[in-house]
Amino acid sequence: MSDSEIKLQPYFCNCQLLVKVARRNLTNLGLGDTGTIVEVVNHELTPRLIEMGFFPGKQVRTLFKAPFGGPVAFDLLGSIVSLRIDEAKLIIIEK
Amino acid sequence: MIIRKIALVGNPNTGKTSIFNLLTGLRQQVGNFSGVTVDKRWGTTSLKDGNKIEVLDLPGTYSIYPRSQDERVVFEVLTNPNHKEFPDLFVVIADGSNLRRNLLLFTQLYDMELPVILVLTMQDMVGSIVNEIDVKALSSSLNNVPVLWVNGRTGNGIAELKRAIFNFVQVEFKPILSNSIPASLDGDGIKQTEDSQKRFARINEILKSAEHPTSQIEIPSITKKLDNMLVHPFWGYFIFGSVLFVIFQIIFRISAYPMDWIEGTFVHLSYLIKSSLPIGPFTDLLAEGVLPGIGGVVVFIPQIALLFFLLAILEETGYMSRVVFIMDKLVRPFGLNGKSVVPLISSTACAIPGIMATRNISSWKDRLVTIMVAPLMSCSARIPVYTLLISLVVPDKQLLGFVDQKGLVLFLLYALGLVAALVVAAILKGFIRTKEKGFLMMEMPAYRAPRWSAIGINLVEKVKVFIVDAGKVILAISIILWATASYGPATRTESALAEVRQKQVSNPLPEKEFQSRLDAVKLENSYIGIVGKTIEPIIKPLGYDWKIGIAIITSFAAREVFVGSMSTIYSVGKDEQDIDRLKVTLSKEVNYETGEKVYTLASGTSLMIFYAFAMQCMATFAVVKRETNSWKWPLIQMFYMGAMAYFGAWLTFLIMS
Repeated sequence: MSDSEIKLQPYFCNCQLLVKVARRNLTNLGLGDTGTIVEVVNHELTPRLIEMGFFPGKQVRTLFKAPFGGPVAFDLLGSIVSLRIDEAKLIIIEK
Repeated sequence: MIIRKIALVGNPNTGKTSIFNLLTGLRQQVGNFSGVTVDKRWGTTSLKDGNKIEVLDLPGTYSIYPRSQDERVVFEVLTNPNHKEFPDLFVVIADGSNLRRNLLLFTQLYDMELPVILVLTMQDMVGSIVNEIDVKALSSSLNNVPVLWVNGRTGNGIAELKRAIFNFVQVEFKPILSNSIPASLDGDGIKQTEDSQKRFARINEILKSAEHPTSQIEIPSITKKLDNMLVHPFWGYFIFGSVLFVIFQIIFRISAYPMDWIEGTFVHLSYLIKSSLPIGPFTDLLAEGVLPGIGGVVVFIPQIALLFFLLAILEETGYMSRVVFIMDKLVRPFGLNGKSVVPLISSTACAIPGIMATRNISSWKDRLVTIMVAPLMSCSARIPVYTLLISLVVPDKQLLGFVDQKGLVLFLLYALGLVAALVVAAILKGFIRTKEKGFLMMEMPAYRAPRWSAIGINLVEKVKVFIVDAGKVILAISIILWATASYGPATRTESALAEVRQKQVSNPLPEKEFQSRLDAVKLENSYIGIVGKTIEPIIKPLGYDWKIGIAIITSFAAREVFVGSMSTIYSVGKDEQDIDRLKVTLSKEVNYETGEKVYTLASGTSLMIFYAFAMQCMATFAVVKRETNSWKWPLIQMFYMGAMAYFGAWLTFLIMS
């Protein structure tokens, strides 16, 4: 194995990210259920999610889901924000 | 401190534009920020001393860190005191019913040591729920920055806002979040996340003293009830379909009247000019080049205005975001965004308002893909072309005993437009590269009654932008087309015309037919006619002759011009009843070389396919140029659509014959 291949390794297996996503995230929250955000997984979209109001400590309730695996709308106590499934998966919660 | 210029900043959906409208009234202008296609609105307002100050409405943004073109503009203004848009004072508009999130942007601005005033909106919503905000307490915990309520609907508080601007004095700066320089964090996501989290913690502390302790924001019950219906897996789509049905009924039923009237008026004006001014090239330029060019711009206004009026209602009431919500997943595979759906569907009426409506798509890539495929949707200008060709070549027959074959072909052409748009979008997705990451993350505002004045102002703006920006290009192309269609090499035209006149002496035709004959010969020997003849070898494989070639070139102005050009070339008049005569003439037309019929099922369908794909519309070209702020994209669009049209028509002709 050459040097460059070894350096590339961390990018191919972002194990930390995989472990975090496997935890309970916003998509595991049933319709009408409320959870509290614990963490937002570090990702390109994280700053924007935080700015939209998905920051740790905030209570979130799942309001409704679009058909066919479309976006999900959340009640952020003050506003309704919809996220795509991929975006919602970045948000780790506890019930 | 003398204030000459203020800028409004705030999150989207905070009523920022209402406040801008209240401040400036109709004294406002709209354009682009230099170099980008981001709406720039500015106007003036007068303060109590009668002095006028400039008001700039910056695009809505959740924080100073940009994630789209619109937000990049805000960032550039905020961080550069030498920017030509940099104001003397920033008025931050914050939604009082969602203060925590809205204060993030405010604290960032404050910590950049910018002069700020904080305006809270949506008091009506806050008041109905137990969330009272003590503005005095808030102001004192924000280091005495002026804080006040303004009602964007009634205008309550506008006078106080003007007074606060007039009396503004920047107080001593004490950072809200110490050791933080927000502007330096652009591009560093991890530090931004950290900074924003700290800010939210600080905001919580600040609000403790200013907010009613038991405050709890509930979604209005009417919004909950409506959402149960409007995003329902069945009723949601059913209602959206019905809304579209009503919109199209209104557009096609109503806009036909003013459009016919405008067309009639311009024909009449041309006639007036021709009959009252001395005969000569200047009169011709005016009557046949300039006036039809202006007419070609004005005729779109009813459709644009009506469509934008209806779309603005969807937007204002909050319904549009629900459409985006239920459609997003369905169009993702094609590289489109939920926000592309309404612009694309609007394009089945006319691509121009459709393309103009893509401004709501915040992701540049998604917006560009939508713009590039919108003209493939079957617009109303194709109808006259399709109707003529279908009645000419498609036999009258019922399929399975009840399906009218002609109607079926028309339906298939519409379906083809939709399929082509989706397929091309899916392909383009791979070609257009941007640094931006596509995302949805969309706020869904509570339902509310539309603000009619805002709709009115928006409507006037859209129409103005179209006339001023697209109008120039349309007028220029129209004059070029006129000049090349009316003039040819002098000797060639003259000798051809002389021949017709000579024949008239030996074998006289009725006056009207003689005039039509002259027009036909003139067009045939004009520069456009010569080009049409020269391209015959190129279009021969598609089943066309040079006459069709001329009609194709002239109808770059607009698709429906095809019918008029055909009438001229075949020297039948242009009145309504003459369409039937045109059909008879066309059905008898035989190829001068082979002696075979020109308009067969094969060549007719080939021509329909050509018009389904080709970008034959100078107004669309002009609008795409305006909306992408470059010649590159409209040219690419014209080229790819032209290639699709050519090869599509060629294949069709091969298969059908």
